[in-house]
Amino acid sequence: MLTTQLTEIRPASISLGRGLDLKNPVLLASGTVSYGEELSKLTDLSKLGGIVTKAISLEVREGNLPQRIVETPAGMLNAIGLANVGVEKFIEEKMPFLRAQQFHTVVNIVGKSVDDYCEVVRRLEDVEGISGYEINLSCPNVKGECIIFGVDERATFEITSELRKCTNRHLMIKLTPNVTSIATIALAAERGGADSVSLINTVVGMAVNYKTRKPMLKNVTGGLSGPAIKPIALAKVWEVYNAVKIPIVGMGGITNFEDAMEFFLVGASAVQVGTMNFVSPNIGATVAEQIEHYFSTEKGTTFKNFIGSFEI
Amino acid sequence: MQIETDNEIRDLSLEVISNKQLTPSINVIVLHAPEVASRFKAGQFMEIKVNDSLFPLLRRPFSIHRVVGEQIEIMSKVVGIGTKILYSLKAGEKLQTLAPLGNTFGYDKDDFDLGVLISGGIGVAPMVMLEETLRARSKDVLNIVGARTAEELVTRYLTNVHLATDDGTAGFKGNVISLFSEILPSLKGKRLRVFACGPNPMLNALSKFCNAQEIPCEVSIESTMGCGIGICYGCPVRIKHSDGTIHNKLLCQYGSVIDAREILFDE
Ligand SMILES: Cc1cc2nc3c(=O)[nH]c(=O)nc-3n(C[C@H](O)[C@H](O)[C@H](O)COP(=O)(O)OP(=O)(O)OC[C@H]3O[C@@H](n4cnc5c(N)ncnc54)[C@H](O)[C@@H]3O)c2cc1C
Ligand SMILES: Cc1cc2nc3c(=O)[nH]c(=O)nc-3n(C[C@H](O)[C@H](O)[C@H](O)COP(=O)(O)O)c2cc1C
Ligand code: FES
Repeated sequence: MLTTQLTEIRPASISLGRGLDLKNPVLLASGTVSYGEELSKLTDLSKLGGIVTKAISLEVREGNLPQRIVETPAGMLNAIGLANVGVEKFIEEKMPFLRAQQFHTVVNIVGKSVDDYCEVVRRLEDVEGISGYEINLSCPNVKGECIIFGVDERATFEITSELRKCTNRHLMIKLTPNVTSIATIALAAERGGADSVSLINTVVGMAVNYKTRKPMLKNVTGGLSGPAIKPIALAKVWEVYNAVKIPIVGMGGITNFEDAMEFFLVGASAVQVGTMNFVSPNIGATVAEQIEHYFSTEKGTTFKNFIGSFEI
Repeated sequence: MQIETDNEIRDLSLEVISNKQLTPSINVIVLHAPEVASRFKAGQFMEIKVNDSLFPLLRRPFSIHRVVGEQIEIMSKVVGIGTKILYSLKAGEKLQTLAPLGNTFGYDKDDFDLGVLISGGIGVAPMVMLEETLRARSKDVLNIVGARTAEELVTRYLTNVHLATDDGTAGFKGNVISLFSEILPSLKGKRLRVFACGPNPMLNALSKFCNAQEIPCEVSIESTMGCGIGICYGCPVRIKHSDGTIHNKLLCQYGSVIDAREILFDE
């Protein structure tokens, strides 16, 4: 069971609000850690600030048919289709493991309607061992679903304010880069009562085979992630940093300590590592250790002062 | 198939002892792997990062081909960027390797005396270790090895081999299933179990054939894999349970060896 983390004495600890006090600013991203158990056999997850679970919906979902993933230069496209065990099984089967861990668990939530999202939160609200919710308004791979919220300012405001009424836990709104103005959507989340925003979710992309004349993914389009999207992610974090006051959790293509530092520089208070978990299961813990080492040895700056210290 | 118990996965940097090009597109890489060699079982696989750059990004799955003392061998066929890099790898280079992964072939089952090992193309890779394992358990072994053409046939270390090529340049002209059905009458009275690996269309046809003939059959399936360790959800297969329900399972967790009566292929 996670007791209060000793925020003061660690060199890169950070409070994102409402009890999401991270011992260091590294989380593992939703959809790239399952529910933690598999990775825990390969890395020491307690070195991390926390993990974000695979998206949870009200009902169990089988997800898309294969092919679900395809590699692209320095990245990958996925169209998993939000395969997940559903909220009840999540509580029953996955929470006992997560509750016993020394890191924060943030539950990623997806739904088809405002009611759906709220119902999942209501069911989770009394479950111990959860530190917050990351609201996925931005999955590109399920037609006609949550994406409609994430691309619309009003819908984002409405769903955030409804969710705010359902929970006292940390509410993190996850943003899609597939919009004209990400700052506008981030502001709507802030107005609705979000404690933080996380970005970016994957970038819509496609891979095709000119010989078979078919798409590589069964779903036709997918979400691009990995090092290929880092420049996009940095630009979006910087844009949002200049618009909102709530903390930003940055992600997109982080492969090492240096990449993470770039996100802090342009305004992220914490980061998430996604696709690279597939390549190096130990990557998150390594990055976390290196960040802590840097801020415990580097003179003249603290972690908090470093956030957003970008000079143009 | 059976579930492996001693399955602690290690992420190791392994040194290449040698890399032998057997054909213009198939090579065998020998790796020094004292930490995991003795724990590998026939049918298991590993995830290999072919270089330490971001392109190609993801690891690639490869079956265990052979274990010799502290050395493990993989047999690779060039199909794209990653396998091309592996083809020209030099001794002394290192490969980051997650292993051992997956379940194993059901070599310990006691419902058979003769293991029929049916492979197509690079599906021959896991058969060497499987044959050795079966022989160590005093089982008889019969190999049916298929390829498009004679040039692509690799049968090293296999015994009692029956060949099939699509173009008839070696052995039987036709596919491995036709060859198997020709051989089958001569195996009458023997308790058989089929172990197969190859392209999914071949495994699909073979599964149907074996199910219809009521011959126990297990197949090592191919799928794109993003991680090999159950965290990307990129490798689903349709499984039909004994109660008739159908569910997606992750091949890297549930397989890669699956009973022919359970697997539903994407047609
Ligand atoms: C459990 C398992 C065991 C395997 N064992 C072996 C082995 O022992 N020897 C061997 O040579 N190969 C094996 N494979 C297949 C091997 O993983 C792929 O050939 C390899 O990943 C291709 O990498 P690439 O970078 O060369 O190809 P890419 O450039 O990634 O792709 C080139 C082409 O290969 C196809 N491809 C990519 N990945 C796979 C895949 N996993 N299966 C089938 N086609 C794929 C792509 O669709 C594309 O058409 C195994 C696959 C699995 C799932
Ligand atoms: C295979 C895969 C599955 C994902 N599933 C989810 C998900 O269920 N919910 C979600 O909010 N984001 C999901 N994402 C997006 C990631 O959390 C992250 O936003 C994105 O991949 C960018 O980070 P990266 O480049 O470090 O991977 C998924 C990403 C990948 C690669
Ligand atoms: S390959 Fe990633 S879950 Fe199976």
